[in-house]
Amino acid sequence: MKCTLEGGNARVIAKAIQSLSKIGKELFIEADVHGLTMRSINPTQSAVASISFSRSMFDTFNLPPSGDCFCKIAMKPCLGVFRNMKQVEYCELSIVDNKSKLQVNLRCKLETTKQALIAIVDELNITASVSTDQSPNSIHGDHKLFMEISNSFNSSEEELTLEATPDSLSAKNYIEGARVNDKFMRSQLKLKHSEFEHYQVTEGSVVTFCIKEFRAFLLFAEALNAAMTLEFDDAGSPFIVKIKKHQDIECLLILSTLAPEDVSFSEDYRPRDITVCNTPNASQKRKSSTPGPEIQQKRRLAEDTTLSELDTSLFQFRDRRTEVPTEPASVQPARMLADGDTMDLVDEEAEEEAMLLAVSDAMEASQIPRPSSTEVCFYNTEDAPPTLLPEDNNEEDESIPQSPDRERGLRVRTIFSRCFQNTYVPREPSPNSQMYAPNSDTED
Amino acid sequence: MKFHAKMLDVLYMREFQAIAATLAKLAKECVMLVAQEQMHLIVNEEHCSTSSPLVWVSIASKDYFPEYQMTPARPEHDLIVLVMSAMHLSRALAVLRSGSSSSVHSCKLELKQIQFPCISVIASVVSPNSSEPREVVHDVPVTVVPPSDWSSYMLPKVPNTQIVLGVPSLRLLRSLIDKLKNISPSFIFHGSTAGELNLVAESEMATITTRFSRLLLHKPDQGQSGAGAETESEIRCSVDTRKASAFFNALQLPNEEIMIGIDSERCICLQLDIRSNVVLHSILPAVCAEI
Repeated sequence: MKCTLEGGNARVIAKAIQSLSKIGKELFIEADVHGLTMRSINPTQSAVASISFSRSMFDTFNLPPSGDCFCKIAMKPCLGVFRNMKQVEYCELSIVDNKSKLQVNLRCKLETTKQALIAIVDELNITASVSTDQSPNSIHGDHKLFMEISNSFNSSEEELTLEATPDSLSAKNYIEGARVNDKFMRSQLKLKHSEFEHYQVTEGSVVTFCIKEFRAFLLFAEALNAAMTLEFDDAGSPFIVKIKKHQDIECLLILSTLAPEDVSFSEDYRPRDITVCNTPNASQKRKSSTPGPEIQQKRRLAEDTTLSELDTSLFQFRDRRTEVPTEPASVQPARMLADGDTMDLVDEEAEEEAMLLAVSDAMEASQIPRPSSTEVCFYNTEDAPPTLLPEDNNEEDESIPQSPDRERGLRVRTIFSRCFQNTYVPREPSPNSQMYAPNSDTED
Repeated sequence: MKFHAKMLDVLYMREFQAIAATLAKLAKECVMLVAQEQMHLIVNEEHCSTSSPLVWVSIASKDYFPEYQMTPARPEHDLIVLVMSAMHLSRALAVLRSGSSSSVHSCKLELKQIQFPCISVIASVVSPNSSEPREVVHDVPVTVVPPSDWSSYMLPKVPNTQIVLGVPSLRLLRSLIDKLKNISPSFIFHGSTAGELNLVAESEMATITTRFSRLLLHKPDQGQSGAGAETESEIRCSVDTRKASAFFNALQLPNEEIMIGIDSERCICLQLDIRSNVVLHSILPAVCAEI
């Protein structure tokens, strides 16, 4: 695969990479007949972002004989390569070395050429079995508006709740009726429907999602100076953000939302919606599962047929999660882990990794009275690519054997996870839940 | 117990936000005393180990708040005493600072009880993107102090100083103190009735004196003529550098003139007249100047 772009478009791709880097640790690149798509998934699998560049953005675009190609690379080297794009006049991306490295050639002003070789980790791709076209509620507005909404909230806020009624939209950092810490300052921003370019809300709904990924995506919208569309249904259903620019660039962000029964600060994510599937070189299975490429967006969303054929450890983890459906996994510990402990995921031994995660997880559990998600940290361990070190760009293919995974420990942690939590988590009924019988206690 | 106030003037709102920002930089907790005609905000962290001086702001309610209603818990009381986090208040009011990008129409403060008592700061903002005003609501959680505990939250008294001088350039004083804070752990303020203020920082290696001359003498009154004007008396007091530096660095207000009152060897009293009925006071206690 080989494609070239000129400076301005290369800068757009750099901005896209910067936004995706705030979401996930790895970049999934897919090149096919329609263009180049970059995707990223966040560590807790509660958000998936994909940015597609159509073929018209590229000066030349050559695909391999098989017709399409996928690769997954670590995000850190990408950020380093696409950092200073001001001087770039011409950019060339190609896959070399028998599909093991992504070569980036940047021709800059004053006859300077920068070349980088980023090791390809493997050929994975993300598909999301979420339908993005039928959402009852859709709001379309300029990025400046959403920027203002995002700026009204402190940058340390984790979640955003949108309460949409047919007339107005209210953005809050809390959920009505949820009991929170007494020292928590509630903020709310009320907007009328006339402020948006297009506002269609069929019935009122309250959705809560993580603001971090939303902000990352907003950053890209600002770079493109484009408008954003929010599409959502109700609590628990995926929250979709779309950006479209000139038919050339289409971006999609799928966020999971808090389920109606959950209190704030703990978010239930839906791993079943988003799958990571292996696409071996010769296999044509993925192609068959996608419907014809009529609409760009639909093409990215394969049906969830790949679930059954895969028996990697990822899916063992997933099954275990379904056994305990009442355990909302907290995004927070995973996020902290992702930032601090799992930064150099590949460099550390998997054992050490698990130790660090266990320690921080225990600390997290003891400090904050929320259900802690122990499963998530082990997911990261299992996902750690054992062999290649992507940061070391020019090394030979060494295979460093991975230390054995503590799979037994996984089950133990799942069974005893409730021990790490506070004994009592007060929950008030959220407005989404239905009251089947009134309170019959005469004293209350 | 009820409290309801509304601000309509953009300038006043910006000043109120600046006051809240100043207090947020000084301490974590802020005490709000709501009286019938006045509102006071006090920051007192002297008993904590942090090096923040005692600062309080008195605001005459009729200037800032065209609508101001206060009903205490019981008719015999005349105050509502609330304790809140200064950072929360400052963040809640941050929208009032927006200035050029969007204009604020009004700001309401209301004491409410949702799950816990809080002051709701409701700002009505018009942004350039939209033509209609938007509502931004922040609920700042507060603790209501019962009358039995009021004695520890009362308004400090302005100490009796022998001399008060007006320094016209606050910025200069601030940068000066910033640079001198590494020299010595204590400063000495010398004030003379001739209108001179000397700021001295002494260390083993050097003594640095900054002289401000031709300052306006507010007290003793310059109007008094006769024998009193002939004698020049000098009053001095040493204060802790960290507290002085913390005070000057925290100030977010655009005012440039500050009045420094010196109570011989007892304290330095700083007063900033933000406008006629809005005054910021601070007391820097004296320390023993030891080298």
